[in-house]
Amino acid sequence: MTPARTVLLVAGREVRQRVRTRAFQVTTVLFAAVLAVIAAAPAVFADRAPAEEVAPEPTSVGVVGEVDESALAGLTAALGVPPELEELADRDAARAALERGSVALVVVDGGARLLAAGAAGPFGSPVPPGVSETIALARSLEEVGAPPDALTTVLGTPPVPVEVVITGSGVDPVTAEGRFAVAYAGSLVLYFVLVFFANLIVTGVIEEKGSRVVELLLPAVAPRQLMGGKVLGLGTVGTLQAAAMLTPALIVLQVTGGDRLPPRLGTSFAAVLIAFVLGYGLYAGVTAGLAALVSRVEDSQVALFPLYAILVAAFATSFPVLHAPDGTLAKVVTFVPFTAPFVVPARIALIDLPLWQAGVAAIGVVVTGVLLTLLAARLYEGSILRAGARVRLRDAWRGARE
Amino acid sequence: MLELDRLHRRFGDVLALDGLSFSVARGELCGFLGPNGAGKTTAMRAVLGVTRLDDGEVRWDGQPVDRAVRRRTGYLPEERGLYPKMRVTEHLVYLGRLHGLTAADAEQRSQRLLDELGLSDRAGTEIESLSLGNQQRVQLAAALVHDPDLLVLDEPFSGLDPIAVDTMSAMLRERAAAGAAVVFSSHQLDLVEDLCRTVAVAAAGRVVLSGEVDALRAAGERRLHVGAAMPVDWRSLAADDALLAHASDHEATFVLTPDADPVGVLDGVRRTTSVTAVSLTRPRLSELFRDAVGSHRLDPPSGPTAASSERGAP
Repeated sequence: MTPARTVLLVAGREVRQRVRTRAFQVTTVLFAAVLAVIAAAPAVFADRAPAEEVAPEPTSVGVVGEVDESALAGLTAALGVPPELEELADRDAARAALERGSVALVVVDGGARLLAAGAAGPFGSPVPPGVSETIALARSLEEVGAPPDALTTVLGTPPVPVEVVITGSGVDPVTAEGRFAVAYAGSLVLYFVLVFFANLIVTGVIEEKGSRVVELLLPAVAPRQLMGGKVLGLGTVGTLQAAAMLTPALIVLQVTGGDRLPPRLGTSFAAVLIAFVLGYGLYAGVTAGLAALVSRVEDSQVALFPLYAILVAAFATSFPVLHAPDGTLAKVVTFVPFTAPFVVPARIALIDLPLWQAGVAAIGVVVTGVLLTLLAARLYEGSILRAGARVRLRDAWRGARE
Repeated sequence: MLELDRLHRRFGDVLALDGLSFSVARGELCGFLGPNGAGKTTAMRAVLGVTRLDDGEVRWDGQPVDRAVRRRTGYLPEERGLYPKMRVTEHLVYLGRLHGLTAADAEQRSQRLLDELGLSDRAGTEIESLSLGNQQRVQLAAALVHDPDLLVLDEPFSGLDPIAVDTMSAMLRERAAAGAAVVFSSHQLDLVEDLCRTVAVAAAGRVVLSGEVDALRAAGERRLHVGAAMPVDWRSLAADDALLAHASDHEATFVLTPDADPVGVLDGVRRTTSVTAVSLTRPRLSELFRDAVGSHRLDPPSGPTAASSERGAP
């Protein structure tokens, strides 16, 4: 029997075992459904959004004492409609009203000062955007002698339109937003699928080692054929699963998206799949090699810590890259094999990445993956038959079989 | 022919194999005996290549055992193990194919083995849902599915009920009759004596006794039990080749060397009185075993009745 046939037999078992489990089927269908719903969401909400914005509700604003005409004009200009004023006796009453939430803010000292409740989150603002600036502007205009009735007109002038000129990698905001969403979703899916399949490898290897079935297999199958078959089989399942999870969402986007379709969706989809295959190839062998060191799932966290640390760090690197896809960091980590699977698809989604860069990155990942897998195969061979306590790396490397 | 030739293996301070050698011919059922820690499991694992040897060689038909030979070897490991989530037939077919069978052959062989083992109705059950006894049967089927030329079974009878022991014995006999070399370890000495033509007894990493059971028993010290009508001075009848093991007024037991003539003792009795009872028994395998591993302390030599009569042969 040829080694290739043995590897395929082992891989075939892995595929059948995974695909037929209820957990696998449920996870795949659930993920596909959730992604499809997320993909459909913009189309659904985009239709309703304009209707809601026709007539903004007047904002309730508290007032303590007299208020300048100019402050009121500024408030109206900033809010878009005249506010609903609520007279309050003093600062204590103002505080109570703010606490109740019956007013958005309180104008005191005739308009020289605003009282507002603290914002709940780090990104919220205590008062609606532009309110304090516009009131200050109105008061200044009045001081330099502008007639009060002209203030509303002046302050209500619409902003000067900005025309985007496409230069270099810059794109218009809508396109940029779409690309960002695609890149972000891509790296997220990639990370989760990689971690998920690393876990499958870990449990699979430990199942074989812990149940001692490996002792029955190894007389007929070379250790590296066993490891290779497992990695290949689970990789096939993973690629199919990632495709099954993403395809419905992709179809929904095509159908509902129309001209709002995020640009380069197909390319990004392909890039994520290729990145999964390469990233899996990079990490899977090491995962199997490290998992073979332990006999129980409880011990696997310690043995696999270095791998997960690298995986998380590589994923984390994609965040700064998402925000500066043409920055120095992005350019460097494109060519680092461990980060490339996360960074390259994100950059492909965001900018016009030169093909040679993606190509060089891919070759780097493949070469590193092959080298790492050869090292891992030796660890696997040296430790798969040593049940019990965790095998030290050094002992596994020496390959002294028990 | 399987040959284990001067196997050496040390685990830290423990010398597991210290020049262990024996051989098993095709068509032969060989019992591999020895107290715990004698090195049986290590030797069997060495045959399957799942443990490394410091020195020595395992040969099949004169050639060092390689993976091609191991594909034609059936193995029942000391620590049983199957994929808990696989179904019975599916598992057997998988193992059969890994050992080189085609899918159709593997399917057919699996069905037949499950029939023989009375497990046909469990064919679609996941291994982990089987009772321990049934898992054990599937484990044996896993060793046999590819119709191996060589069978290496580590304690195949432990944990089996008497009916299952009979079934398994019959299957092993059948494999040997079909020309396979079969070696299995066991602590059930009576069973081995019934089942095996040859045995190898290991102690402290070496084989201390090996050969055909009949020849070993014939070459061992026989026990002569004699009853007399009147009290006899048994002491006077003892000789260098007929030691007195036990005596009372009317009966006595002598341990005879292989060359000794029991008639000499009987003639001595008949000079004074008549013989009322006589039995000459060959040693049981269990006695040979105890002598060989040098641990009489387990069961000190007792009266002649302990291990005589029912299978006594002159």
